[in-house]
Amino acid sequence: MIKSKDGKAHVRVFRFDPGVDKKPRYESYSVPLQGSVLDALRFIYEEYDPSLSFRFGCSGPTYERCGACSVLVNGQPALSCKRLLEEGMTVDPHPKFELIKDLAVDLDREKKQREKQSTSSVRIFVDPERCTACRDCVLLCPVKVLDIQKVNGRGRAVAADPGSCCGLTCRQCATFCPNSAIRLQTVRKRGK
Amino acid sequence: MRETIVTDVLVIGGGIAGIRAALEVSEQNVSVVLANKGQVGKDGAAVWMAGGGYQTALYPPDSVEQHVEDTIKAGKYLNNQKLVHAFLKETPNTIKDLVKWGARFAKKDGKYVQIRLPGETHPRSMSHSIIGESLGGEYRKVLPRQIRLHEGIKTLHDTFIVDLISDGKTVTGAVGVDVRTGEFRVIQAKSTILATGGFMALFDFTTANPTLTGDGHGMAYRAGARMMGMEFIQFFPAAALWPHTVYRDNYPYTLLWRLRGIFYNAIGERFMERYYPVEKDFATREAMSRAIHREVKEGRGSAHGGAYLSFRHLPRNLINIFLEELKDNPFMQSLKDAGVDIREDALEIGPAAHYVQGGCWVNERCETSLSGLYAVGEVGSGAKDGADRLAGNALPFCMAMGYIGGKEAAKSAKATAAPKANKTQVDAVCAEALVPMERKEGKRPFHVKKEMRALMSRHMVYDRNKDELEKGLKELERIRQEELPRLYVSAKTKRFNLEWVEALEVRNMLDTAEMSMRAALMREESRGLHQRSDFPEERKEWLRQVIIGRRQGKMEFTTEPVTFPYVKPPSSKRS
Repeated sequence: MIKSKDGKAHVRVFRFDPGVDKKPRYESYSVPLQGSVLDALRFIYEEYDPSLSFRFGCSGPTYERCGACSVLVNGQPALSCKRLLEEGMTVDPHPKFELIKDLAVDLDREKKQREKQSTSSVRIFVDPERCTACRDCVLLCPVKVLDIQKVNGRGRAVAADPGSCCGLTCRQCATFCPNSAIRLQTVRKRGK
Repeated sequence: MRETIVTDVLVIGGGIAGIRAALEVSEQNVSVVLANKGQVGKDGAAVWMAGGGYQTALYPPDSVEQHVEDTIKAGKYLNNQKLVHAFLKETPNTIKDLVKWGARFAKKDGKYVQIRLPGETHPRSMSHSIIGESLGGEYRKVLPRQIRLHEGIKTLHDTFIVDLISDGKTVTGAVGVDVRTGEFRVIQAKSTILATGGFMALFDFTTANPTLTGDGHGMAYRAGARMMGMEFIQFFPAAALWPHTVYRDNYPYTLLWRLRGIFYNAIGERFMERYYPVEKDFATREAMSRAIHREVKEGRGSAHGGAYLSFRHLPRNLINIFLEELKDNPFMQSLKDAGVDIREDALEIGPAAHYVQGGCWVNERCETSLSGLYAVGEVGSGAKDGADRLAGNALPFCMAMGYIGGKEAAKSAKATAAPKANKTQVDAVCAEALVPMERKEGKRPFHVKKEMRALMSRHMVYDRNKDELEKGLKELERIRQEELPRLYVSAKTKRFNLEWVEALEVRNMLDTAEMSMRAALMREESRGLHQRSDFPEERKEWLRQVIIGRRQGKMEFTTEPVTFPYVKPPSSKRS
């Protein structure tokens, strides 16, 4: 965790109300540097702007079961309940789904066209020997990253949309895979 | 603008009981609408966070009768025994349903592996096919998918139900708000099934999610349904308070047993020895929670309001073997993220609200006292759990009640004519819901909610007494008189207005909290989950249920004796 001097973090949050605003904007807030991104959103809602909309479900940080709070943090998808807050973060809605308002998206409706591909924080490996194409991971993934496809004449799980994966904040597919066939590996950032 | 939806059956709530009920109604070829506060499967329904317990008597020598007996013994003989039997005899079928939908349980030699949880005569709890994994993920995998596969079910995501439409005798649907657009939705239904879960979010510290604010309890009470068992709230003894990365996780309880942990209070005293000289740190769940609550109340709580749980007494080479075993455990990894080493630091733990026993009075067909209204799962109490819940009984009850409630609601919907909309009442509900939205200034809902949570966490934990409960009730009354009329929504946007939803929740929380506190004040004994320091003993004359009704806008309390058709309490045998 990067610590700023005064115990405060600055967060830029995506704001857009399709019914009112003409175009999206970012707003900067100063929040206490503690807890998760979801805590920061909650703080903004309570102290600065009650019109901020965001989703939360089981409200982690260790359950990571529902996936409702998935957002884009610094261009990488993550569960906001699980991702720890750092100085200078930018929070966007998850790019895969239709926007309702601000950070709240309709998790059942995927966008027809995706403007920009987000970068995933992990690489997803599926062991072809172990995978039995049982669809568990497909059903569990909150953002539908995995899919069953035919590879070399045999069905198996494939990371069809790795750009949407919430990475190590979620990892439900790896946890619940009955055959331990899925492995997530962090992508090292270049230059760091 | 107001959207009107006409359907045969309305299901409110999309957890395990609600989903099961909607599926059953749909199977009966009756139109059904499922209204959920969040998105089904991607919300905070408690079932997705479920641990391991799922009790059902599958193989001899175990039997439904034995299961009933265990449940009643755990419930301290306060259960409605007829109901327990009626619901539990359906549980073996619920396993078949879950397996049919794709859930996988551990199997060995063609038989399901069943493990023993506390309070069971025979090993009876199902376990996940991956050893040590919780079953919550399994349910989340299979249940929401069934909703999507049944095309007959119309799902209203993000629809917050404000109030039921009722004339005091019959319920004919409900009025809700579509959170996405901010418009009202009037749902007219022949039968309405409540499946809204518990009210654990009335407490600061809970293992459930913060949206379980007792909405079903509040609206059922206001519609005139009889409520019961509201004083019984279960606390999970050892959920993590600190470090933050594992906040609310209930894994420390497992650690406590595996590593024989030791509790300390703020002054470094092993306080459990003082309360329980024999069992020490391994007292029962209630005893443990009660001791910690007492320590916190007397000002010896830990930095985050709980107790310290230490493993430092163990030799390093011994604890290292455990840590190596638990290398991949998400809890241990989160501890690592926080930089906490359990060989050196103590965890902070505290009792967290876990489950509520109270809810609507129901009969063995899941009907409430209002015609056309059914209640299933946690909100449909009927005293099925009695004074304490047998571990692993919550989900089988939800599944069985969902099945029975769905079947009965569909049957009665087929036999009744479509209800007429009571326009004046709908108008009144909508107008009332809009009041905080239109108010220009006042108090924001989350402040009021915070006050109420603090109040409940102070007075309604295991260590209750008359003075504190009366003080709490006075404070609740003040909130009702002073804060409720000043409640206002400062954000005026229509789309996805979280604050408006919170404002609507406040009234439900108030009603639920008051019912719960008054019932706790009335029951002058300690039994199971209801522990009074001024009445520390179980009393025979309190083998009664506290029933709450509504008359002329006021709460009315009566008691009803418990009957014992299956298992008689030991004392009544002697007399």
